[in-house]
Amino acid sequence: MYTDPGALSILIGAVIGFIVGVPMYFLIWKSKLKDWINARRKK
Amino acid sequence: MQEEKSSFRDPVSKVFNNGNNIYREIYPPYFNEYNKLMNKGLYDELTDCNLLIPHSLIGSRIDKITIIPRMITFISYPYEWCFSMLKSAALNTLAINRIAMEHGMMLKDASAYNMQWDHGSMVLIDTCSFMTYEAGMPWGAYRQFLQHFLYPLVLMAYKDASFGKLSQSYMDGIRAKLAIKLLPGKLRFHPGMLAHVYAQSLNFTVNPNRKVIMSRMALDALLNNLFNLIRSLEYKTRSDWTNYSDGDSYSPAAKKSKDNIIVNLSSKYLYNRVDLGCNTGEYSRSALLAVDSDHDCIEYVFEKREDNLPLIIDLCNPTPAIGWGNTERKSFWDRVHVENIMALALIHHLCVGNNVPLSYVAELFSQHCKNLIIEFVPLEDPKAKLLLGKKNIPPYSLEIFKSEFSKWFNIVGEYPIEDSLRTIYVMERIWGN
Repeated sequence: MYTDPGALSILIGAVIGFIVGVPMYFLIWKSKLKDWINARRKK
Repeated sequence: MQEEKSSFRDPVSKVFNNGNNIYREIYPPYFNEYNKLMNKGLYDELTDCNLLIPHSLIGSRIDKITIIPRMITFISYPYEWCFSMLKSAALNTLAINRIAMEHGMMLKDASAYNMQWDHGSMVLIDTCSFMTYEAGMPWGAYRQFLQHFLYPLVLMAYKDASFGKLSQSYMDGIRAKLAIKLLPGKLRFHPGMLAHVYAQSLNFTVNPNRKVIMSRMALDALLNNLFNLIRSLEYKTRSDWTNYSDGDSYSPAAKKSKDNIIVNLSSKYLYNRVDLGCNTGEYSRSALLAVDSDHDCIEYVFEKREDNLPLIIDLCNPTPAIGWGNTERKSFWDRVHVENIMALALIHHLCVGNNVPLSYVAELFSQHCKNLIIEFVPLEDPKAKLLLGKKNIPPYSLEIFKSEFSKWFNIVGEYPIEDSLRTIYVMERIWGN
């Protein structure tokens, strides 16, 4: 079966992006630590 | 001036105590970092957020800088804290590190002993805990943070609160391998635990010449992840406190009478006071210390945040002196020198429950306070009867109580609690004894 190498790369990229991106979102951008510090600064 | 033995581990500064003030001498190898802390806005931000103890600069010479940090009213240790106190100290440590990184610095150590309860917050008392942060540096204190904070917290949350006392035996923190042996196996499937507990016990062979590089993004992620993990840890105390607060020991009339006696005591007996056997802290408001051996009671008192320092201390086995030469961390009684000791509904637990002779209690209290507010509970009291059961105890009666305490104190007030067999005594120390 012929598979378009471009499509395969996009598929692999999407899978890796999902695996890495989801935890990174929760680890970095959804940072409770930063929110907590900002709340403390406002007090 | 006496050198504080606990400061010997840090060669760049030393702490001295002259009884009234704490002095910290900072030596030349740390001058750069100290100036950076003070001049780049980090000190101001941390002290504004009540995360770092403020200090005044009193001398700056070529060989040393001398500062006076604000005095902490009572130095306590992590193994005397309840779960929420240790959790608060851990979160504040992470926040301090994150703020420091925004100012080009980071924490070089993450010892739980550096955090102390001051004005309603866990604050960092070691002004010399900061180092310059350079891009790519990993957090050198990561392992110490895990051993001092995360592992005790996880053990307390998932197993038992009494594991908090383990830090007393392992002064440098609980090792990952030990924590794993004690934790439930199901935690292997928890991503945070897998990374910070289980992965840490693996023996990686690291080439000492290889420079470890950690990007700023990865470091942020590490701190955030630790913060989220610790925030998610919960400790469940007793759900129903209303039935616990010694409520069944007093009828409503007796309770009201006891409240009145305490409220009407002269303020000279209530300031600078240690409440021993504080239970749920009903009479601990504005006390310096609220002490009980029950973790859940201390957790409850801490959550009330009533301007006192609640500590888990078992008076029959109080905190010993530990560390180098048994001088590094002081014993509980070595740190208690107060105007007033309050011991309400405690004496029967000591003398009936634990067979401590009345003479021992009188002598011990006399060595640590000027005035004593103490409630005598006779053997006929239902709670004392329950503790007595069928066992033999050293002589215990009101006459012996008065006679033993009179050797050390003048009894200046005697207040029987209405509708009860109990009596509250106010005593003043006899000088010269």
